[in-house]
Amino acid sequence: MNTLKVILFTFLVVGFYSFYANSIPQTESHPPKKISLNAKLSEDEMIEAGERVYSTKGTCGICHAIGRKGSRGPDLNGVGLRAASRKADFSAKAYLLESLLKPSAYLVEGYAPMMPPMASILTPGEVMVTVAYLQSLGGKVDITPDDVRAVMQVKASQVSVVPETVSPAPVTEKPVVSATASEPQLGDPVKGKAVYNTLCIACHNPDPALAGAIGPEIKGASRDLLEARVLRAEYPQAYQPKRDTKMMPPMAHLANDIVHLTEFLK
Amino acid sequence: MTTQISTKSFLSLLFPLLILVFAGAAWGQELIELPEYRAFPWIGSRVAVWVAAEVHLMFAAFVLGVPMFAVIVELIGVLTGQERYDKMAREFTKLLAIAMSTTAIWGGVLLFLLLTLYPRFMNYLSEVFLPTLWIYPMLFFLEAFTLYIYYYGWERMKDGKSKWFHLYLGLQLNIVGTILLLVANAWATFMMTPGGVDMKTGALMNIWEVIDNFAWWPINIHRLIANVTFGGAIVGAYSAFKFLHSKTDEDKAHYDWMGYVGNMIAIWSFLVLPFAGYWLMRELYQYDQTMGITMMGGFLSWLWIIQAVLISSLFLASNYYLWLGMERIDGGERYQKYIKYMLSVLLLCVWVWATPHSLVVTPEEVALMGGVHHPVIGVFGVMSAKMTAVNFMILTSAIGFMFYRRANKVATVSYALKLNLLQAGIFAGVAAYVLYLGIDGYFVEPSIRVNKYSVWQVLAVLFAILSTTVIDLFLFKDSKSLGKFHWGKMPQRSQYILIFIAVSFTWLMGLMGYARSAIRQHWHVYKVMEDTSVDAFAPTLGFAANVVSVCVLIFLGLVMFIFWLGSLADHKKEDASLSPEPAQ
Repeated sequence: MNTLKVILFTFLVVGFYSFYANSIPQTESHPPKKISLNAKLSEDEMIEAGERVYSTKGTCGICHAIGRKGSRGPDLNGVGLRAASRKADFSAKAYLLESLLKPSAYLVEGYAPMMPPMASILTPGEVMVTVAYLQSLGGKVDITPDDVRAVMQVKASQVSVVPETVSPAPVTEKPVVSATASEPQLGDPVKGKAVYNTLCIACHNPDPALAGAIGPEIKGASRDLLEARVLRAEYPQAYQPKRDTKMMPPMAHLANDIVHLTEFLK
Repeated sequence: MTTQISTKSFLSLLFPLLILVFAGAAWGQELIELPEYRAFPWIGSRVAVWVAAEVHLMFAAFVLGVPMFAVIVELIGVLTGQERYDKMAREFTKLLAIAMSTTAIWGGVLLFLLLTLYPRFMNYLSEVFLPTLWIYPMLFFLEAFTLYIYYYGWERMKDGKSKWFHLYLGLQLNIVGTILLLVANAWATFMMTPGGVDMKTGALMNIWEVIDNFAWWPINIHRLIANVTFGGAIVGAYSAFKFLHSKTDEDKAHYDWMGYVGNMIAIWSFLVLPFAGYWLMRELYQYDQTMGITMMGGFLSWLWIIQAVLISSLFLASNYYLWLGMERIDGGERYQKYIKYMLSVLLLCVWVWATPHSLVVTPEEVALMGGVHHPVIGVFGVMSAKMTAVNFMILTSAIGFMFYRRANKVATVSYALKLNLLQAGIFAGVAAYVLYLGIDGYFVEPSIRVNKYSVWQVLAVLFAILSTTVIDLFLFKDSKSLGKFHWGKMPQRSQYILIFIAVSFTWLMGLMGYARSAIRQHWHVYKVMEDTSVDAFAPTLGFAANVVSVCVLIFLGLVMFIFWLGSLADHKKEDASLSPEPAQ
């Protein structure tokens, strides 16, 4: 009798946990569909694919929201319409492309420059459909593969997206003209501190001499190291990294700030 | 019986080894072109492998965790000279001998399924891990034979120097078992955080970096501690099962005491686990932020709420067991009045811990709540509040255990009042400090909250536990006893609490196993080898929970079968001891 009671009790406990887990929101996580710039997609297909990228691989919804203020980024409701009037001489698609590839080039008032350039995360095809989806939020979808090719300089031979396991994402972002050559050799530590406190402390310690939650201590980092690590997510030759992490994205838009960062970190 | 177990175990060990040997040779020669995948009927390949792997891992945790428990208990028996410790250690080693065979059988099933259902993936893993595939079976042989000598040599090595050699065998059993764990962990963690291979082609570059990948040590430490916890919980459940079936007061007293010891080991090692888990998560974030975000803020975010419910239930259950335990101690009634306060604190902490934060929510849910966070309790859904809640739960449990320890004692030293006040002051001070950090944590940088405040909270709680325990030693020196522990005088529901704890631990282990695998999403080896099968997606948490439940029921069903087998041997002994009685 006791054995039966123990069995029933066990079923009851296990059943309770199963019931609870089944009563919470249920979501399946599917892999992002591979999207080639060469693929002939209808407007609806592009929007649908873009929405999927938005909520999965792009992880946009973690910061942005649609119809309300996001946790860290602005509300994207109506962005398809607003995009055309954000910057002078920028069409909606040009602005949205820039927002994805160089997010800090234009900042909506009240928001920090914390979004990583999406060229390091999304393939050109995914960038295209994401722009199409964003355009569909109040605007007209007119993005074409050529628009993406022009901005991302994707070679024709690389356009057909192959599995990421075989080759890296076929993206070569437009080379950033390094402004450091024309900058004075000594930067402004105040400007450097402002950049550091705005961006770097998300991972590094507010005191650069100390290790941060994710990034190591970086006080005294050389200009060569900063250029390699910050702009290209690489290390100078023969440099021994303090942590074997791969999470810091390249931030090519900081090319003009490297000299200031170097000065601040001295 | 003995011969049967040995033969069966030997065959079950030999079988997987032969598969490894022949399969390894076949892979190397590439005689045939391997298909990508094969389909398993009805339930699909993924669920088949999932169930086999999870049940195998549960048994592996059993056969690695229980020896740790057994050797420590045997050592206590040697040092204290109390026979009951030796009896308990032996009782569990007997179960191990049977469980080892079952572990090997499930390992064989898992290997069969992987080889037949995922040939390309296994081909790749065998290329990368080839040396470990030769070492592993040899270690397994060593582990098995050490266990058998340890168990079957118990009687022969009972006294004198040979007892110490017996203890050494127990130590060797644990060392070899731990190395086995490290090797298997290298396979599992490589799939999550691969290193030592060319990330574009997957080609092997450095075998040591393959093994010593990013998540290897965090998982090693986490699993080692978890195995101790699991071993203790299973011991508790076994004791409860035997207690419920005991017919004599003597047996009830023995199994009540055994359940108490098992539960204490489970709970105290369990208290360390969140910190090991925290380290693991931090390492995963460092390896790949996307992986971290997927886990904490993406589709797996609700999993942590399920985990909070499970762990909160464990805290409540273990405290309830202690409170019930005080009823069997003369003088324990003096502390009953504090239970309602401790229960209130625990329930409040459960509420805070189970508050969701970053979630996948539908627009309807957002509209209902008026935002992504709940308007009232949303403020508790952040790390600062949850860390504070967890530390308060640990602190409350420590106070409960302190009451339990002193239940039948009255201090007689002249400075008793001062020491009591000092203890109260330490607990109050630490509670205030933990609360202060929890509140201030809302206003500081994440790096300070993560790297400093969380650590300080933990250290303060540990300080409170250790310092009050040391003070107890002085406080109850030459203390007066109000009575004794009436082992066996426990209500039946206390034994169901022990079973609840074991079932919950097992379920929690299954859930965390799913979490570890699910963060790879559609990758066999993260960002090296993509899963292109029909199962290349992460299922819903509800589906995962159902599979976990099935695994738990299979495991517990087999464990009950093993308990029953163990009791058969006991009946035989009883029969044998009765038979020589001459007829009157």
